[in-house]
Amino acid sequence: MAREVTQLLQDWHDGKKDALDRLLPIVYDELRRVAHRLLKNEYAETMPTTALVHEAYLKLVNQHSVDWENRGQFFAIAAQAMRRILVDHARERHAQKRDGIKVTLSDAETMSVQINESLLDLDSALTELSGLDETQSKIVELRYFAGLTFEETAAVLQLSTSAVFREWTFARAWLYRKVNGS
Amino acid sequence: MHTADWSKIKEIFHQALDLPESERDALLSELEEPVRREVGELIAAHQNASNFISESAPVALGIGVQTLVGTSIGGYEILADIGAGGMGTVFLAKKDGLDKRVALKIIKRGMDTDAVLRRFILEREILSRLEHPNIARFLDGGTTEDGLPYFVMEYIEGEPITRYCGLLDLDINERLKLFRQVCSAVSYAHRNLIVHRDLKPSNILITKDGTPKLLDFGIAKLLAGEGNEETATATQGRMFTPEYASPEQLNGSPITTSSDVYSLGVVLYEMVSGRRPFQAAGRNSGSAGGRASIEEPARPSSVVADAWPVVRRTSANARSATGEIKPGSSIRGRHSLRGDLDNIVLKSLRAEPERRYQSVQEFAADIDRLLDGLPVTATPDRAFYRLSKFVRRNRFGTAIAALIVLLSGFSVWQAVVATRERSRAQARFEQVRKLARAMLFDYEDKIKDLPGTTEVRRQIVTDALEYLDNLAAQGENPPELQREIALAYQKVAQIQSSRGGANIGDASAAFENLQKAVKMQEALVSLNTAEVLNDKSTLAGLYLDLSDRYSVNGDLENQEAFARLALKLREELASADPAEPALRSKIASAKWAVAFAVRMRGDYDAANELFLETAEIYEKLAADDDNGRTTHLRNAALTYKTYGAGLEAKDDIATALEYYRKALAIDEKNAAADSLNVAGQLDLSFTTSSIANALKKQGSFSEALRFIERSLEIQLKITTDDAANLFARAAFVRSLTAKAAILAELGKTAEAEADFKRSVELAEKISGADPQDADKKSLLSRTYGAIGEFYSRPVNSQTNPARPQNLRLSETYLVKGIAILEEMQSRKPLKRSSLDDLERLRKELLEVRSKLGN
Repeated sequence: MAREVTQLLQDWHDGKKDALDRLLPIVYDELRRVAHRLLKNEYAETMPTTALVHEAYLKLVNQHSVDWENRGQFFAIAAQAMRRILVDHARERHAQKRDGIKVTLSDAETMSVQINESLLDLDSALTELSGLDETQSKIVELRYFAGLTFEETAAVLQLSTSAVFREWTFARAWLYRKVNGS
Repeated sequence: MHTADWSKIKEIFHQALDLPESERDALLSELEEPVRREVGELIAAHQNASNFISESAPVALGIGVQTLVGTSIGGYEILADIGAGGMGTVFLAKKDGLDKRVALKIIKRGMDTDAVLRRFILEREILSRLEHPNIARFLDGGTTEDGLPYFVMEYIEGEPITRYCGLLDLDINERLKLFRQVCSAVSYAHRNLIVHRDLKPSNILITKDGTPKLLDFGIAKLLAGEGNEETATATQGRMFTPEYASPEQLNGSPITTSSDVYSLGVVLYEMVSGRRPFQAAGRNSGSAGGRASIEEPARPSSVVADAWPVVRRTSANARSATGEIKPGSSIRGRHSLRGDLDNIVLKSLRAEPERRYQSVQEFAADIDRLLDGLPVTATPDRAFYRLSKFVRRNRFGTAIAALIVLLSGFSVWQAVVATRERSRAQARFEQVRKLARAMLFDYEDKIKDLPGTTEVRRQIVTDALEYLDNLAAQGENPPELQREIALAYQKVAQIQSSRGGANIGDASAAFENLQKAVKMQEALVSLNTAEVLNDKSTLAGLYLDLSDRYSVNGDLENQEAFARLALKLREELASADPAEPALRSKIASAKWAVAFAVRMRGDYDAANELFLETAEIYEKLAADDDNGRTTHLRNAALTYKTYGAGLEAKDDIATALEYYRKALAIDEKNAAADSLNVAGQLDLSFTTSSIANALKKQGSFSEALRFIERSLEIQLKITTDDAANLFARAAFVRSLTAKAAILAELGKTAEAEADFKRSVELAEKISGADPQDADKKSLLSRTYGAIGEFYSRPVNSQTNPARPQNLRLSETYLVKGIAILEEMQSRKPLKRSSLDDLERLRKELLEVRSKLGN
């Protein structure tokens, strides 16, 4: 697995765009796995996957000497990286369309394009939100971009689950209004 | 927006959401602009946003769903995705090495919230309890490496019942017989206090040989569950299929078995007429539920004429393809089939549960009567009810409704009471079982490695034990339950005694509970059920736990005997698949236990050989098995340390140090990777202690001091985080004593004395908390011994004799230490190391006394 990730990262850096498509599910899956274990505290088996994700993200976000103070920081960065990757990806697709590059789309891809477009709006709204409420934007990043559950988000941010839920509810309403215009 | 208003807006937003909608405006009107407008807009947004970013971006983009096809779960090879429900995905799978196809259902990744997990586990439990020829059989269940529960069922290849009837062009007689079998399955579930709640053709498959099989208990309800089940119902509220749901289901009213009667009625309606009750041409089925509570559906025989799309037959002598139902000879009788069948179907479809068949059995019995040509109990809706319905519909009054209840109610009420009594006993039992399990396995697991939780864990164990003893006392339990109880006892014992993790210290209770577990598990193995391999594997684990407990109690003979039993059992189990990492690692841990026991009784050569064999297994595993590498390495490190200790005992210090350093390299890497995990940190601290002691024996005192200070630093941190972790505190005391002894060697007498005194103080406290624990007793005796030996030493230089007051102190401590060991010896033979201690202390005491006498 680790070898596969390294190879895919290499391919991606070498300009093979489809490597990213294969890489993301693996990384995302790993992220979920680690998040799940974070709650269960299964130390013994978590270590290698954590290390793997560290490695993957270190390369992805191109930050070579990050001092991983704790797991919370790790997840925060991982979620940010996921956000950046997806948004860049969406922007690229958007640009292709704008530049008139013909893209043939399957149904599933059409749906992805829609999500991709709203992703760009969401991204800028979220950036604005982070100026108003850092915690809320982190919660949205962890849940929406990293796919963490409420419980996992709470564990990462060291908040209660109910607090996360409340902040999420507010942030979602706020972002919805922002994205859809009021 | 002004940031100053932000927290105010947040606060009021939540306040408003907590209010009923009707009262929100009042709250908002009290506010000033712009806060009022902001909150108002956000609440409006909130009401539209329920689906907004509800699914994570990766999942929405389809990159989060790595297919499981081609992987293996719990020894099942996943062959194909065969369908997804609301929360689970069903795969076609086969057991490795076998040809038989099975269906494996697993929670969708990302759906594993607590509520869904509970639901899923409930479904698994329900299914595992049902064994009926017409219900898809439960085969196996487990949890994936990521903690997602799954279960394996019989794989049913078949057609939905309505489609099957059409495809094979069955006559009415055959259709009714088929339906009759379905009734027997549903009725069986009801007798087990389970309501299916989602009966519909796609959940009733007919296999090639014509056997109906009931599937998907995904939203089934345990009638026994009282309080907590209702919340689950609420969260699952919309998961049923409206076309087949009873009016009470649609209204959100309480669900009873009668709801399944209704759904079966819809299925039967469709089977005999080709249409669903409110599905006449041009009508929208979406409103069926609403109408079902006020209207009666058309008689099946009246819709069949213009419908019956499923019955097509080309042969000339067939019954009319679209025309009225011409029954086969066996159901032709004096009673008009049309009238009776209509009455039966309509009776099952009445809006009021109390006016339907009171049970599926009653429903089925009426169909039997129809098939046998006997009079059926179902009669057309009587005028009285039509009137009452009219009354109710027109809201005339509760008085008349009350009268109706009085007239018809008494016997119904009695029946209800009887069912409730039975349900209550069952409910109590289930609650107890679930609670004990949740406490031990869910809560406990979540908090076990977190610092500071020892007190909570103690409470969990106390409560869970009470439940367990109750369960075990119920006598004749089925094997699955026995299995569960044995496992729970083992868990309790582990919690009470776990030696590496956080420990809540109750050795004698742990021993007792472990013996209970072993006894139950041995009985299970002797039953030789289909699960016998798993049962044996569990038993081997229990033997090892027991061996460990005997070692704590100082019973060397039993310690070795049970370790060897475990090893034998595991070697036998692994012979089927010698390459399997899990089995190899289990052999290694059993071998380690044997080696340890052999060394305890003093046979160092034999023990060392066994340790080297063990380390070899772990090293190979670490190379072969990516998934468990950390664990294997940790175990290899542990084995090297233990091996090194054997060499050290034979005074081969240099080689011992070589192996200790091998262990150190592994432990340091592991500990650095996870600074929060107690076990990994403790590992490292023990390794540095071992190295310190070996270095001290070599005479490298300053280097030894550096290592022991590292141990102390780690252990101090752990005990600061969790003052109740006795294991770490004991480790701290041992290290402190070791440090004091090293300081004494370096000539730092005052510092050494202070540390010795502090370690005595701490050891007394620890032992006082758990007076029966042999480990803690020998810790105390060893600490007394160490300080006793210290005080008997010449002060400052080798030439000055010890001061008399120090010799007297030495005598006091040595006597205390000896007394503890002698007391232990009077109960059980001492461990080899304790015997050595005793001998040494006695010798020392003799010397001290002779010096004092001079």
